[in-house]
Amino acid sequence: MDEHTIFVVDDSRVSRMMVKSIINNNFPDREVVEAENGDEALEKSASSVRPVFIIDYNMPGMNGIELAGKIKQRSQDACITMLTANIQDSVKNEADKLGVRFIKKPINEEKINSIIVLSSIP
Amino acid sequence: MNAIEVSDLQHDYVTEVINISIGKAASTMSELINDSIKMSVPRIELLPANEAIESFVSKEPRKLSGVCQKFNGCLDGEAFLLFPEENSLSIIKMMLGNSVPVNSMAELEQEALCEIGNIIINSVLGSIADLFHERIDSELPLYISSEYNELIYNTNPEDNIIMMIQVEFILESQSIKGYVSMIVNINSFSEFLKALDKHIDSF
Repeated sequence: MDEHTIFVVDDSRVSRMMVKSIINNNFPDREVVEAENGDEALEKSASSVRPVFIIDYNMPGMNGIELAGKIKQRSQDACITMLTANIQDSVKNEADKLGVRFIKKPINEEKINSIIVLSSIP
Repeated sequence: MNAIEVSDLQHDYVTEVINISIGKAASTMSELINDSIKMSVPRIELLPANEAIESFVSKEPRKLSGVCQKFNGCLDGEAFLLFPEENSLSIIKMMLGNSVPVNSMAELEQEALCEIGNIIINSVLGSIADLFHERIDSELPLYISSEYNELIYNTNPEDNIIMMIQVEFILESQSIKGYVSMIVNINSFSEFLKALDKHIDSF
């Protein structure tokens, strides 16, 4: 896996397709790997150098905050954005504490582009 | 049916809370499908199951497709986002645009509806939670295809007060109607009213 592989973690296949489609169209040189839950995301990203994560909150098994915590334990400088329908202040506060960006669904090109551009800044 | 007394002030405040929540959900829905949305004033009623069904079906007798999502926290219950079954594919096309091949749309219909429901229902629940500085957690959304009476009877209505929050929204370009409905557990609604009173008293 190259540096800056983008991991899209969402139990919704439709969401993953939309995010991947936008990235493939606007950043064709970036590799996108999909995962439908936290365990799969951790496994697939284990050997990735400086991975970028776009994570949903509400998933079967561990939720997005729990996943972000495990990722941060493994790699403090992992770039994580929570892209979620769960917009409550309580969830946003948990994301802030972990140093995770928080973006509200619905998915659109502008939001995905901003995530990728910001993740490229060292 | 129910032993819960709701004062005029409590009813007014709940209506206002729901108004704000639905307003935010409308904005989200508009962004989701790239269309203008007209929303009705939310109607909030406490009803026994059979009256709730009659009230809804008299206006919308068609079979419905949509999403059910259970929630718990400062309020426990189930929320529904519903569309007439014949319109659900149009909604999905509006949402997905060109990001998914046309020949994949039907296959993805249920998942796409779940995603729409997840976003809209969480918008409503999140607004309610934030207004009270509380938390509401939701389970994963489930696709449903049913008539309204079946949906209500599947929620064990004898344990629940039917807090019917009915909002009708219309997607302007296609004249499609949709509905948000919430069924709330009777004990949790009682606790919710107490929290509401504290909130009102704090002003």
